[in-house]
Amino acid sequence: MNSFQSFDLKAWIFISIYLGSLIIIGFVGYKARKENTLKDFYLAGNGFGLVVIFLTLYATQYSGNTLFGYSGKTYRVGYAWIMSVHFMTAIVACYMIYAPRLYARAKKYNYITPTDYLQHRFNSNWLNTVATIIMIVVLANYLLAQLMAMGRAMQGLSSVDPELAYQQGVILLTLIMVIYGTLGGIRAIAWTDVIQGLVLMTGFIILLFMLYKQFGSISLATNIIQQLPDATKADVPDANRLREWLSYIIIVGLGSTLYPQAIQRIYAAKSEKVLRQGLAFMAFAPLFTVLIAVITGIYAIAYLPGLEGTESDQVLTRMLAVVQGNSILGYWLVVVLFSAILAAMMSTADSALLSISSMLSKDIYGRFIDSNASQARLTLMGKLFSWCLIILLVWLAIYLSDKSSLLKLLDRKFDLLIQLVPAFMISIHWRGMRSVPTLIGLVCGVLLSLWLAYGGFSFVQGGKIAGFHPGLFGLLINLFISVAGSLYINKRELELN
Amino acid sequence: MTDKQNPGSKKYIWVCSIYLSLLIVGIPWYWPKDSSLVVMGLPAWVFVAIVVSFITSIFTAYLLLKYPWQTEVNVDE
Repeated sequence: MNSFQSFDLKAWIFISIYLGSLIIIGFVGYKARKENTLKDFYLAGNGFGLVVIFLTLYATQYSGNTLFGYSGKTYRVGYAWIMSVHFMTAIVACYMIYAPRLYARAKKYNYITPTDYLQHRFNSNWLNTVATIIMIVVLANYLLAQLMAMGRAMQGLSSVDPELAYQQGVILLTLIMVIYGTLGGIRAIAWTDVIQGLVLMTGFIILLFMLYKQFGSISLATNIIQQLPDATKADVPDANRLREWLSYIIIVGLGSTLYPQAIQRIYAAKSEKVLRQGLAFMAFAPLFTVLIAVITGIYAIAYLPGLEGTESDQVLTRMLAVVQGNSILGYWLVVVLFSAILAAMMSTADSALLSISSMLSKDIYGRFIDSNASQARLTLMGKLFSWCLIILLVWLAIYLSDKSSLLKLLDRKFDLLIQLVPAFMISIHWRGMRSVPTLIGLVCGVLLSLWLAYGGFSFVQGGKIAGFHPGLFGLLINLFISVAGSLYINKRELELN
Repeated sequence: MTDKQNPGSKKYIWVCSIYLSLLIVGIPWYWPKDSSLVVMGLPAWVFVAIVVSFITSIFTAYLLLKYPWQTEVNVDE
């Protein structure tokens, strides 16, 4: 079996220059700030133009998981994981459900955090706080997963003791990220996203080129897979897998648009035209990102058969090891691709961290602890929260390094995020939506989803019920309570008047 | 407000219908289980799924680029 060759000094110098450039950008972002306000720190004042908005959406949307996770998943599931191209495309289509109206309101009422919309729309501290907590929990978990992925990436490439390499990787990369993030806020993060997005796109294209050069056409791979003793990976999916396909399209399509950092990028666009154009580019991103990760997995099925369990998550690393050992060009292509993988992880993590800090600062501290705090004070508190949270998460990332099963247990982010659909997507179109049933629906939806996911029921197989995510069942109850309850209250009020 | 400025209720129906049609064609529920047909180096059902994804991207980009969003006017409607 091929093993990965540790990078030499020249490769590490290249990677160090890349990482150092991120801190410089953070400093430039700090210098470019126009005022010490929340709007300037979290939304870059008047917002971003087309190139920045597209690349920041791209770099934020596609994480290290896209490369590592999706190639590994394709290896296990087979060609059917092409469904990932569908659900990532569905995200942009789902933005159109509410982004136009949310953008208009955000510009008119100067929203900063995602739940500013809810506060303005419903004027309910309870609903706002519950939604904020859900978003923070989801994002903190997402951020933790990215930190652990950073450590694993360094572990795979360094020649030092694996455990030490993991710890050093988590601490060093997180430190770089939090420095440029707290220096320049969203401006630094979006500008680093431009570099990270470009490196990431280049990395994916290089990966496709390397695979073709190393293994030949995809036809050869398909031919080999169809001849394998276990040829089921090329088969038409069964009924359960087809239901899972539909479930993923709904839950990821709707859920991803409700990521707090995604909502804040809607706020941060300079104009609606820029946002529309940025999203139009994003509609094609799955075809040159996710599809390449799936193709990597397909090549691995054909040329690296027999990997089981956690080994199947290392498909990409093993494929790169083959390419790396082949030539000097292959070696350097892998160095660039590794930088792209770091870029993917850091750009996703920094956006999540900034978004959490904005919510802790404005929605929790500013609302419940110091309601008279100045903008400068709230910005400072946001930075302070970033550092405190990241120290906790780095400790957790190191503590949980050999307890990945525990992390998987916590990972129900889309099941939770999708419960915000009525509060955001329906309320923005329907004025009759009321705060109390929306809150009750949200809480019931979350509780039902978690109960189904962790209740140990025999009908829940692989975290799904007949192929469908538990979050979709929670959403049905949530929708029923919030819509029927709102209709009832409206009817009662009409009768009383 | 003109029809072009506001995608409006009439457009929602055909937009939703097209997305629904793409969803129905994209998920290979109708494909024979024993199919081993290969197109462009991929199982035919995978090839169709990728083509549908490409068409969805084009359609989504068309909607985004063709129809401006309503901004400040009638924001509270």
